[in-house]
Amino acid sequence: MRFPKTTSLGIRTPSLPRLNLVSISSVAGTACAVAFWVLAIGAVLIPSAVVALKVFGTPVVTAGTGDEAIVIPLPWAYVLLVAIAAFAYLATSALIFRLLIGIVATLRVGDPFHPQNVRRLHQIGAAFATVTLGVWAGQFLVARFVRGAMAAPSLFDLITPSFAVVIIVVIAEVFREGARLRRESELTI
Amino acid sequence: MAIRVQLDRILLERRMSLTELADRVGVTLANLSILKTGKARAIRFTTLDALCRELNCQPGDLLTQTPGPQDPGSDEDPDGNAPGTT
Repeated sequence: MRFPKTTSLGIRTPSLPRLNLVSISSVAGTACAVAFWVLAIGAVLIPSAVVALKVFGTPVVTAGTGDEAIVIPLPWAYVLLVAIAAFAYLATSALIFRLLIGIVATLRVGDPFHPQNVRRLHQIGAAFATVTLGVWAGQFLVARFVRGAMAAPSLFDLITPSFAVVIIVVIAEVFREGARLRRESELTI
Repeated sequence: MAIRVQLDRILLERRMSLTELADRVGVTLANLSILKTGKARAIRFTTLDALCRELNCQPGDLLTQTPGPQDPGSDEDPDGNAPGTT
C-alpha cells in the first residue's frame, strides 16, 4: 500500500552523527582519563590544603549552640581524620577510573573480553564497596561525635550502592565467560 | 582432549613440511602448530576440508579418537555434557 508523500516544507535538518563503538569508547576513555587526573590531583592537593590550613591558619570549630556556644581550635585529630578521609575517598575513586581506563583501552582495540578485565571489574566492585562503606562510616562517626554537624546515615542508604556492587560482580562474571569463549575461539583452527 | 590430530604422520607420509602445508591451506603456522600439538579445542569444517584436500586424505585419516579420561580444563560438566547441551 502506498502512502502519500508528506511535504518537507523545504526544511532540511542536519543529520546527527551516528555514534559507533569507537566513538563511544573514545569519549568514555577521555572522560575517564580526565576524571582520573582530577581525582588523583585532588587526592594530593586537598589533604595537603587541609593540613596546611591547620599549620598556617587557625581553623576553629564551634561547640554548642546559642549563648553557650564556644569557639575552640580545631583539634589535630579532626584535621588528620578529614585529610585521611579525603585522601582515601579521592584516591579510591581515582583507582576506579584508572581501572576503567584499562577496560576502555581493551575495548578500543576490539578485545574487551580479556581475562584482565575480569580482575579489573572485581577490583572496581571492591573499590566501590570500600568507598561506599567508608563514606557511610565517616558520616556515622561525624554524626556521632560532632553534634549538629549532620544527620546520622541510615542503613537504607547502603541499599542502592549494594545493588551497584552486585551488578558489577555479575558483569565481571559475564566477562569471565566472555574471556573463556574468546579463548575457545582462539583455539578454533 | 580425546580427539587426536595425526598431522605428524600424514606430513611424513606426504613428505611435506608444516610450513608448506600452512601456506597451502591458508592457516598460520602458529595455528597449525596448535592443531599438531593437540592444543586446539575445535576445528572448522572449512579448515578440515582444506587439510584433507591438500594432504589428499579423509577426515578419518587425520582425526582419531582415543578413549580415556578427559583432559583437565574440559568444558564439560560433571555429567559429561558440553555446556548448553543435554
